[in-house]
Amino acid sequence: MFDGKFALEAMGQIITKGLPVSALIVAATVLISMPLAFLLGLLRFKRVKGITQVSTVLISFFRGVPLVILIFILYSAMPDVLTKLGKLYGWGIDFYNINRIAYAVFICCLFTVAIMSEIFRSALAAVHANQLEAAHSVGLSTVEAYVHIIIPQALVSAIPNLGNNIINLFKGTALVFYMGVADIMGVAKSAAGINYNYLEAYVDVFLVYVVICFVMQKLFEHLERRLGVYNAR
Amino acid sequence: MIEIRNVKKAFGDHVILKGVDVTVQKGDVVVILGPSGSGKTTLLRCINFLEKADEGQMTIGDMSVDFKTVKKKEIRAIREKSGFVFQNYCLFNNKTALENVMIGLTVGRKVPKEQARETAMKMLDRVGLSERYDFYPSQLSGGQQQRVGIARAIALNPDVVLFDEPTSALDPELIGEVLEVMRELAEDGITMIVVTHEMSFARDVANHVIFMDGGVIAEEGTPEDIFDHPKNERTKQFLKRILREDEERHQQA
Repeated sequence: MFDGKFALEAMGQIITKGLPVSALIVAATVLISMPLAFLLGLLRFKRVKGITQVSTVLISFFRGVPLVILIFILYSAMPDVLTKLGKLYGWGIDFYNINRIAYAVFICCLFTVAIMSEIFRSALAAVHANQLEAAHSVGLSTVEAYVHIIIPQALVSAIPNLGNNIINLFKGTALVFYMGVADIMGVAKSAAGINYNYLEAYVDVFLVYVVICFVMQKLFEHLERRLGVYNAR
Repeated sequence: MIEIRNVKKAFGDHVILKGVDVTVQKGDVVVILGPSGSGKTTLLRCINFLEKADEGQMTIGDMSVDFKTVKKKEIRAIREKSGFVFQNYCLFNNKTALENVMIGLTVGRKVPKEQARETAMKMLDRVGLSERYDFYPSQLSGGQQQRVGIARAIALNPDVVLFDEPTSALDPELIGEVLEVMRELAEDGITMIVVTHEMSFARDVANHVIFMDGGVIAEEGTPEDIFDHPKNERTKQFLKRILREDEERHQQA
């Protein structure tokens, strides 16, 4: 039988304790990754020597692995590896005691920068070459053309793709509980473990994700409409 | 006041311009005709440095450059002297008509916003788009977009305006409004070099016609010389073909 009372109590805990953690991870990841990804995408778009080959390898690595595997491998290996490096170079940091949320954000950032840099690169490539020519013809420098014409158009065309990936990132962070982080899933599982109310806990988690993803979708749609007002209706 | 000497341009092994000389006086309306591949668009684009010519010299007004040794700063300075109107209009998609015309002034030349706005409004009025200042290119017809393109080019007060087949991408019903604007510009004394297939425009508005073929100038002269008394065999063939197509197109419109 479905224990509605437990479901309600657990929901309260999930929203007040787990959701802020999940939100923090996503927000921190996005804030850190977006500028880096944009820079990387721009450098790769302009085929800057030295960056392009190395980044291609790294990007295909981090894109090619499911986030959960990345979490497993890196979280298992990183404290060990970093501690050994720390001994070598004399860093005084105890890598086993760093807040696990920091590890979660770091791993999500690697994953997100890899994906988003490709989004930005293709968005830049999708801006018609004639925009740059026209800018030159009215006396704008290449930098001015990029700042006023090309990058704004690239960013707007990237919104649907970025929004999609940020929502997926949010869903993907459900796996950081494997690292012991008390996010939405983490809190739910702990609460459920007491009396084995796993079904109720998972229903709660499901509802939380559905509602929040829906809200995020609507926000991105609104953003796309507002900033893309110049696009054909 | 525009002199081009011995312009040569090749794309890889393909030689497009084989040594072209052009002289244009202030107020001239020069039309360049020719089959595709003859180099007329490349010539135009070399003048504006949208392509970099391999060899040759160019003088616009008081500035002279050699295409082989020209420096970036010189390119930027001499580009200010020519405006370009594209076949595909090439308006800035994320800017309104007004902003399209203003941006060359505000960003390119650091003109104060209010002054640039006034100039831009005057230019758009001149091409008949006073009702469309705040429209985005996606909200404008092809003819309107091209007229914005023309306003954008003349707003910078260039010594010469270059037109690269300005009506070739337009529906027949919209060609007329653009040609009308170009006609008025010519009457106002604006120096124009136009690559076009619109023979009526060439005949009525141009005071100098150049026929290009295979990367060189095959024949040039006044419209009467070229249309009524062509000397070169290739010119005659081209005219016969084009005038026939022109008639068919205008019958459809």
